[in-house]
Amino acid sequence: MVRRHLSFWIMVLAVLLLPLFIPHAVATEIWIFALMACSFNLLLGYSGLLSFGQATFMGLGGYTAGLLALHLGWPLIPLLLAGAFSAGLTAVVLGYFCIQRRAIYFVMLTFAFNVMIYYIAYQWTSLTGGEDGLIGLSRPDLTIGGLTVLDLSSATSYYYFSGGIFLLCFGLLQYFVNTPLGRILVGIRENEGRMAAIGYNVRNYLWICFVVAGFFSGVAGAQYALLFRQVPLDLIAWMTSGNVVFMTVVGGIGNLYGPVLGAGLFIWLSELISPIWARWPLIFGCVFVIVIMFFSGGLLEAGQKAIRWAGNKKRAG
Amino acid sequence: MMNILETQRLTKNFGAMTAVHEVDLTVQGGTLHAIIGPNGAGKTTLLRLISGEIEATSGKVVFQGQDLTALPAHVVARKGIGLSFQKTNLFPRLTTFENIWLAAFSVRRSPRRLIRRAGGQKKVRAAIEEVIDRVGLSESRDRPATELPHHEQRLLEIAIALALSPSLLLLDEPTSGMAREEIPKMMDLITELKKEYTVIMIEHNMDIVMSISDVISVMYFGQLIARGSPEEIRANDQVKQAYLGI
Repeated sequence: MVRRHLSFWIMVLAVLLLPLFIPHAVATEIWIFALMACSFNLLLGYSGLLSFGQATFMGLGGYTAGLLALHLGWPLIPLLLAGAFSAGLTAVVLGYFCIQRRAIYFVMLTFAFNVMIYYIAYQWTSLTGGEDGLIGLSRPDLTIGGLTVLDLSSATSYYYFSGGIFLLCFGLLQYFVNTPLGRILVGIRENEGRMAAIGYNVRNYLWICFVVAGFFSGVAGAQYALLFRQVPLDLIAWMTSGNVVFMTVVGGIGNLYGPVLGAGLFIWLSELISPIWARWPLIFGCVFVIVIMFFSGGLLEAGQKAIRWAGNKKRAG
Repeated sequence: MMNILETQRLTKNFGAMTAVHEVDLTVQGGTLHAIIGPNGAGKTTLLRLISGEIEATSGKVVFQGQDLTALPAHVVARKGIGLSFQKTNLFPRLTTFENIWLAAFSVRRSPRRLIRRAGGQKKVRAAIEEVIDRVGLSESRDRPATELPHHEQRLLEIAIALALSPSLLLLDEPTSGMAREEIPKMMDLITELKKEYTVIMIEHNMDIVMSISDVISVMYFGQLIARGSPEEIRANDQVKQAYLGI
């Protein structure tokens, strides 16, 4: 049992230990973007579709949770679910159009929708706060039937709550990619034409994948809004979409652990080094180039190679 | 015996070029029907019309009494037509087992099965084992398709079509690109398959065609110019001129 889920337990350990090294707020942001990158990787790594507009869904999740918290004072779990479903339902509509095309045309469609929705958020100041974003939210505690189960006002308690949500979602995504549905997506990535020839309606499967990815990106967005108690306009901007592509590819697209690694590195660098050295993206840029040139499997593959190399050397010596 | 497949005045134009011209092909259930003809005669296009890979310009495809003409390939496949491609068309990075799994699962799926862990689905596994056994790929079951030698890739190509448990098997040049010494194996396999499946086969190797076909149709410039038993085809003057070049 433990052995079969070994890598999942490693993830649990990582969630428990990370705050020993990094401030809670940064560590929380890491797991939020890790979830975001994982959901994005369903499309890129498993289905072979590069979405350059995943921030659309993160942003929608964030705005939905933010607005409901601000105006209606919804409790915590319903806020997360509302963020997830608003993003998921939007993905049903946008996905329908995007999956009609492949390769660069798919990329441009996702990008175009992202830009459109970004400008709606930017212009609709009365609802979204426009350029200032949505500010002044309060973060509800975790309550069951009116009883406070977990006080989330501190960064520490919110860290463990969102770490738990991450693990739950990560487990679900991991399950998803191991179901027949997940394997069918890999089949489509490998040879779409043959998949049609053996009886799969390729578009429907890609559509499902798009919606699932949108749903979990929405969870990440809602968590982000509650972490910072605000929804910056940047959350829905294409820059965020680009960052997610970046962190996922650097981490490695072959499974769900690569995106987690990439997101961790990206957020860590951006939050801890940027105050000291504003040109930090330079480092990440260099890492990106090296990874693309030498390790198509990302840092995860680079790490595995290094371990194997060290092992061989030890044996030889 | 009933006709399992009928094409009626089936035509496909690519721009100004007519690849398939008013073809009336009838295939009886339980037979092996070979289609021969020179390169560019429209044989592969005919198979792709039947399997729904491409849409006909005019005419009809009727399979087991059902009109399939305008249906997309993924629907046709689930009606019971399995196509094995001339140009090997596998899932290169997936293993032999996974390649066959995709096909076996396709015709045995249900919404519930889609979201249950892929491992323990007995019926699917049983179907895969049977196919692997039958084509003789058990040694290579866990190797990625791209690493298989060419003749095994050809076998896997057929295995994928077989895993669909089709009522009609379309084989587009099963021996394509195979070394001479590997061909007898493929011939044995097709002879075995013939006992169980209705087969339409395109093939250039005349030894195979003449020895195992029940019926042969000859295509020439997009049209069927002859149909008959191997003996009849061999004796047909028109065929000799057009194709056999005797």
